[in-house]
Amino acid sequence: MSVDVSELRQWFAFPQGAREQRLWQRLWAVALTAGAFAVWAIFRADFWMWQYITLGIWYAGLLWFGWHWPAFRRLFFAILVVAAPGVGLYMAGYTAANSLLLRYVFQSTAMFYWMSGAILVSAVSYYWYLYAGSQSAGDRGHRFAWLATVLGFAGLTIRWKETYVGHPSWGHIPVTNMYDAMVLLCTVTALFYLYYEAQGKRRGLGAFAMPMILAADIFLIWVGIAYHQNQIQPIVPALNSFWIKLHVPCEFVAYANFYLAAMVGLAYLLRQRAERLGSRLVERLPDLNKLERIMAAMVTFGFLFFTAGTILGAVWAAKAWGGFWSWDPKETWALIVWLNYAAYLHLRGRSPQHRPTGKTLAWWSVISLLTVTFCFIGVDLFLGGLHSYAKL
Amino acid sequence: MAIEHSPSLPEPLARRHWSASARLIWQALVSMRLAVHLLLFVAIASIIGTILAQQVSYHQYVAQFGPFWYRVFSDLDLYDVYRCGWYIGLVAFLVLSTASCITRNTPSMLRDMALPKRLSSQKFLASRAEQAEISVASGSGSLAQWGGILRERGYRTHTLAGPNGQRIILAQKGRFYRLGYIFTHFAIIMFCAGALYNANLPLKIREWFGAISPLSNFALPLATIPQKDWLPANDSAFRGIISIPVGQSVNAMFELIGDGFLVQRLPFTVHLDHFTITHYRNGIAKSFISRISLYNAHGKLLHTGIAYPNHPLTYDGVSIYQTSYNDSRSVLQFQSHSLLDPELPANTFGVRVGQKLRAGSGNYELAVEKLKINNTIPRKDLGLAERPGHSMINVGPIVRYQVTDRKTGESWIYKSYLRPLERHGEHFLLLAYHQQGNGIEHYLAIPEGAQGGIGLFVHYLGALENAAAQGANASSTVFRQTLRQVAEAQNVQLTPQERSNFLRASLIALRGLHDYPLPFLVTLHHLHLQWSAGLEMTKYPGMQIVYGACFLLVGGIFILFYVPRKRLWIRLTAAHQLRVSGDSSRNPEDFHQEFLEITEELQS
Repeated sequence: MSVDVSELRQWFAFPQGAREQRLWQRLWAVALTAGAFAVWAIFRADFWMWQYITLGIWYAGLLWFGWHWPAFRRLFFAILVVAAPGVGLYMAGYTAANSLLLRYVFQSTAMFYWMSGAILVSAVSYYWYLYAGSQSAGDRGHRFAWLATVLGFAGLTIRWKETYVGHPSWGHIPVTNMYDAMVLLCTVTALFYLYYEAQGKRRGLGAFAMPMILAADIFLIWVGIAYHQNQIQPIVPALNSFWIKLHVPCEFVAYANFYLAAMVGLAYLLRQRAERLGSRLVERLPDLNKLERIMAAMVTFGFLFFTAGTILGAVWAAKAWGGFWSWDPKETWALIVWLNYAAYLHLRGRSPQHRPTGKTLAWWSVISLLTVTFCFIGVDLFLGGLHSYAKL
Repeated sequence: MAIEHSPSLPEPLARRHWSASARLIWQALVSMRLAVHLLLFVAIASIIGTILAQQVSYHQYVAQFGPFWYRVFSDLDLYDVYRCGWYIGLVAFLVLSTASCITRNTPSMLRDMALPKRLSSQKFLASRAEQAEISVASGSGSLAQWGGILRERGYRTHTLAGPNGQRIILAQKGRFYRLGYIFTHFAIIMFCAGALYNANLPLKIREWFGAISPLSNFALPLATIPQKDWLPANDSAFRGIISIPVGQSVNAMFELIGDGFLVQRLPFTVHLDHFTITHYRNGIAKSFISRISLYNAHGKLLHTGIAYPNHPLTYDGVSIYQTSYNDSRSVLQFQSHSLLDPELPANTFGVRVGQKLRAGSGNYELAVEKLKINNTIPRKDLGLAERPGHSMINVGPIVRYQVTDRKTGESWIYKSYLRPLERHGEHFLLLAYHQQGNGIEHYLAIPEGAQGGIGLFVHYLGALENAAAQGANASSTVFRQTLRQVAEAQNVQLTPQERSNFLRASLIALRGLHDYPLPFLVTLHHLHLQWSAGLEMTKYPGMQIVYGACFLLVGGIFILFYVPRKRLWIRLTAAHQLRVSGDSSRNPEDFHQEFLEITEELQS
C-alpha cells in the first residue's frame, strides 16, 4: 500500500500552476525584502559591516529556500502568526506571572511543551503508518511534524524577545545553552525531514526521523527540568558576537542532515532485511537505490554546511581567542566528524564498480551518528574546554 | 567525485625512465584507498588529545597514570599530541597524498574543462549514458532553433564541424565543475601552508635542536630574565600572553611552550591606560574593556585604542586580545576591633591578597587568601522577594582570610563581606567563619548604626561588658539604657524605631558572639581595586592564506557537489533524424529525467 504524497502535497502546497507559482515567489521576495529593511530600520544603530553581511546571508538563504520550496513560505508566515501574539504580549508589558495566555501558551517554555506534544503525536503516527500501513496515521504524522516545526521556531522567536525582558542589555539570540540548542536541533531536523519527504514523496522515513527527534526532545525536557536551563541567563562576553548568528545555524543545519542521514541509513538496513524476509514494510519505504541517494544527498548537504559552519567558528575563534585553531576538544571533534564524512564522500564518489555497497555506506552513516552526537553533546558533557558554554 | 582511470604518472614524469618501485610508490600515493585510510587515521589519532588532557603538569599525569604508564604515554608524545612528530607526520602524509592527487589530476582536468576544438569520436558519443534517436517533422527546426531551446535551459551551445561537413551542436552546462575538485584539495594544502607560516618555523627548528630551551619558573618577574634570552621583536609570527596592571607598560610577553615559556620581545611598548568592567544586574560580567596605548622605543605614541572580548585591537600586524582580568594587586583595607577591650579605637591596615600578618598582640597569624569581587547568590537565600527575571543578587566583594592561633595551631577560615546587606530596612555587616576541618559555617550579622560601620555595635558591646562588670543585671531596661548612652556618646541619632531594631539585632549578634573563637573582629572596610588586564598578542602573517583557503574550500565543495557538468551532442543523422547523446558528471537519475524532457521538447 504505497502512498504517493504528491496528491496530498497539492493540499498543502500552493497551486502548482507556473503563473501562480511565480506570483507567490515574487510576493515572497517582496515580503522578505520588506522584512530585511524593517530589521535594518529597527536595529540600524547597531549596524556595521558585519551586521550587513549577516543580514545579507540570512536574506539570501531564506529567499532561496522560500523560492524553491512553497511550503517553506507558508511555514515562515505561520511562525510569524504564532509568534506575534507572544511577542506582542511581552511588548505590552505582560509576563508569565500576570498573563495566563503567556504562562500556558505563548511563553517559550510552554510553547516548547506544546511542541513536544506535537512531536510525540507525529512520531507515534509515523510509526503506526510504517507498521500498520494506516494512511491516515501517515497524514497525521505529517501534519503534526509541521505543527512541531512551527511551534518550535515560533517558541524560539518568542524566546529571543524574552531575553530582552529581564533587562534590555541581556538580549541575545537564544542558542547559547544546551536547552536552546536542543530546541533548535529538533525544529531544524523536523524541517529538513519534511523537505526530504516532499522530495521523496514517501512517508515511511518519518518513522525513523520523528522518533529520533522525540529522543532529542526528551533530552531537552530533562535538561530544562533537571538543570533549569529553560531559565534565561545573560550572555557571557565571549559569546556576545554577531558570529553566533551565522556559526550556530550553519552547524545545526549540518547536524540535522547528519542525523537524518543516519536515520535513512537505518531505514536502508531495515528495508534490506525486510526484502530478505519478504515483509510488507517494503511497500512503505522508498527503494534501496533511492534511500542510498537520499542518504548521500543529506550527507553532502550536511558536509557543505558543516564545513562552512566550522570555518565560521574558526574565524570567530581567530577574532575572540586569538587563534584560528586551538585543538580545543570541540574543534578537534569537529575535525573528526569532518574527516569521517570526507572519507564517506570520497568512497561514495567513486565510480559504481569501485563504490562500497549501499549496506556499507548505510552502516557508515549510522555509526557516524555516534561521532556527531559526541561532537555536539558529548564534548560539552564529558570534556569541557573553551566551548563548554553549553555544559550542564 | 573520483577519477577512475588507472593511475599514471603526470606526463613530464612519464616520459622519463622510472624504476618500478618509484612507480609503485606514486600509484600508492595517488590512490583513493590511501586517501580514505589517511583521513580515518588522522580522525582516530585526533581523538587521543580530546580524551587525554593536553599539556597539564607532569605531577598530574603521574598521579593519574602511575609512573609506568606515565613513561609509556610520554614516550608516545601523548601529552602534546597535536604538535608531536608522529601526528604531524601523519598529517604531512595526508597533505603529500593530496598534493600528489592534485598534481596527477589537474592537467587532465584542465583539458577536460577546455572547449573541444574538434568533434569527439563516434565511439565516444555512442558510449555516453543517455542516447536518443528522434525524428523531427520536416522543416520544423534547424540547428539554430534547437540550440535556442537548450540555451533557454541554461546550456551554452557551440557548433562543431563534424566529418564530411556535418554540423553538430555541443551544449554544455557546468563546464568548470572540475574546479570543485581542484579548489577543495588545494585548500587543504593552503591551510597547512598557512599554519606552517603562522607557526614560526625557524623558532620551532631551533627549539627542536635544543638551541633554545623554555624557562619553567613561572614565578620569575619579567625584569629578572636576562634580555639575551628574549626572542627578537621582528620574529615573523608569535602568540603570547601578558598581564598588565592599569597604568603600567610592558615591552615583552610570555610565549607558552610545552610546560615552559619563552619571553617574546614586542615590536612596541604596550601601556594599559584604563580598564573597565561592566556587569549584568545579577553580577555576571558583561564586558571588560582595556584602553591601550602603543609606544615605540623612543616613547612616541603610535596608536591608542580599545580591546574587549570579540574585538581585538590590531596594529601593524599584531592583534591584541582582551582575554582575562584579575585584581591581584588590589589593596584591601581591614578594620580590626578588639573584643577584649571594645573601647579601643579600631585598628586599620592595608594588605594585598596572598600577604600574611600578625594580629591579636602577635598571637595570631592572619593570611588573606582570596578576593572575589562579584558574588551572586539567589535572592531567596537572603529572604528577599524574587523579581521577575531577577532571581539572583550581587552581594558585592567578599574576602576570604585565614586566622591561625600560633600557640595551638588551630585555624579558622573567615569570609568578610564588604557591602552591608539590607534586610527590612536595616543594614548588617556579614562575617562568616568556620574552623578548619570542621565544615559548620557560622554567620555573624552585625547591625550597623545609622552612620554605617560596626563602630556603634562594638562600643555598645564594650558598654554592656562594663555594665556587667559593675554588677548590672541583664534586663531589657539595662540594654536599652546602655544603648541610649552609647548612642549619645558616639553622637549617633537614632529614631525610636531604629533603636528598637538595633537593639533586637544586637542581641542576636551578641548571642552569636558567645561561641566566637577569637578576641578580635577583623572586617573588610575598604577596597582599593587595582585591575590587571590579561592580554593575548598574536602576529599571524599566514592568516590571509588561511582565509583564502576557507573561501576555496567552501566554494569548492559547493561546485563539487552542486554543479554537475552536463553535456548534450545533437547531430542530424538522416534527413529528419536527430541523434542526441548526453552525459552528466553526477546524479545520472536526475539527468535522465532532464534528458527525456529535452528530447521531448526537441521533437515538438
